[in-house]
Amino acid sequence: MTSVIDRSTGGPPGLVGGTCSGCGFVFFPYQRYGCERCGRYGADLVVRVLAGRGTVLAATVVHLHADARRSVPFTVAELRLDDGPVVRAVAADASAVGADAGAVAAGTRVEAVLVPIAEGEDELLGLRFRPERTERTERTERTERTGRTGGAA
Amino acid sequence: MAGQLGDLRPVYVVAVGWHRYQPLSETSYVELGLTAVRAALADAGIEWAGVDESFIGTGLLGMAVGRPMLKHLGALGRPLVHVENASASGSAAFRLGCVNVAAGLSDVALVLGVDKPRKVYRAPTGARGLADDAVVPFTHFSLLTEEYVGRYGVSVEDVALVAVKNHGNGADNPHAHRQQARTLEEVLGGKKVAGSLTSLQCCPVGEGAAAVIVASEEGIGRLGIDPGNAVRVASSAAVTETATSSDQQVTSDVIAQALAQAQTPASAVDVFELHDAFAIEEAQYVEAAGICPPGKYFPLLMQGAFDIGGQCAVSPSGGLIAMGHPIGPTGVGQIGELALQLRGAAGARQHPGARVGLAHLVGLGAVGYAHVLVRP
Repeated sequence: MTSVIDRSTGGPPGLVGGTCSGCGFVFFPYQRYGCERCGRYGADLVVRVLAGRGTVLAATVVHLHADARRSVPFTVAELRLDDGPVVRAVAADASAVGADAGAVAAGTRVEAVLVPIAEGEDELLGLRFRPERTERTERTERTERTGRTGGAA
Repeated sequence: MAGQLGDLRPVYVVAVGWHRYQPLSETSYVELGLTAVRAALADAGIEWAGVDESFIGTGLLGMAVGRPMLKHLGALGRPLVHVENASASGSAAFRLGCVNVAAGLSDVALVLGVDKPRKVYRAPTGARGLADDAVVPFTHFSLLTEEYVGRYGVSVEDVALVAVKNHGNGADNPHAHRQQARTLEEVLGGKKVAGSLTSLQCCPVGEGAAAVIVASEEGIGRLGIDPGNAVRVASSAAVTETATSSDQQVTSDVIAQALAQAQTPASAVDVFELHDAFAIEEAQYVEAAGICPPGKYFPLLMQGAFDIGGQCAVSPSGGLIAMGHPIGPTGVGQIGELALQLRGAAGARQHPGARVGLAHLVGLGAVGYAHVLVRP
């Protein structure tokens, strides 16, 4: 199965979606079966890597889940990607991305992040969305890292 | 221009029957189905030989389960077909039965919903979402609950009141899966599923069967069926989701079509059986139907507007939350409840003066169905 995650973006991982060259409909995930809006198919549907950024529409904490690969509780968010499509994804928990991650709720700006998964596991199990990092949080993090390095020396 | 049910000859629901909805048991689907069919035949006062063809709504039983069941009524060589449309399988079977009778292909048709729970198989499409494994129906409806609560400033307790109402109605329904009235504390104190959803705000998926018999005026006359028990099927509408629509949009579209075909305003609906698989859906769909304005469902609920005896009795059967959601039977059972209500035969659940009934289901996909029934 081809990957739906594009790691070559520099920033947050991109999502491999598509655009219909006939009507301009932007969709996720990429497929060539046919455009949901106008029905064009095959080569008329071109790959478009969607930015891994968006705004949360709703989020909910799941307390009960049958699939043992996901341990409860975890948070599922519905979000509108900046490039248009609405997707559902799992929110990052603080232990995986740092305590500054905070909680996601309606209106939260979020970005994609990959968390470590076991060898051979489905890549999508490692995809999360966390609150978008502002320049301020990036700077704070750099300072903290410098401080820690200094302390160790 | 495509036609509609009302363009064809009149079709009536003339009989109803159930096997109680219940948790999975050793009872075979054959026993479940035959119990409902025999109850419906007795209600119509006709023999099996009077039925021209059968439509069987089932989502979970697998291939070709109809004949090994119906042959025990007498294998008369009449046509049967299985109809699968997820949660709306029974609604889809009902629509097809009505259409064939209205078109004149049959005079009398059986519509039977029967199912037993089992793990659902869906072939992979080859196109994956980001977290398909993490999003199950209750996650979907928990997200919708969060959206609604956020938009209208409704409390967790308010949402749980939907379940309190429907458990109360189910307590008076001998065919319901859950027949126990619940307090707000009991509903809120149940097992947490996702977000504020607790298990008593989610429908039970068990086993059971529901049957209705639909007939033309010719069939009613020829078989000597009591016309006083006949309820007119005034309209039938079906839609699917568009590239960008939601369950609520599907509902709003399909109900608008059904009401327009029946030339009935939303305000005339006395009894409304809807797809309340999860509590929040009742608020969304009552609003989508135009029975109250957006955001006004909860204030009206608290005034008793949606109780039996209120402005519009919503899910007097107990709805999916209490009557249950055995998949195939669900849509057929809704029609059965409406027929009882419009006949004035719903006993302790009777909504006084019920004349117009509306049935609604959405099914995974998403598909949407709506039917309007009217007491002649």
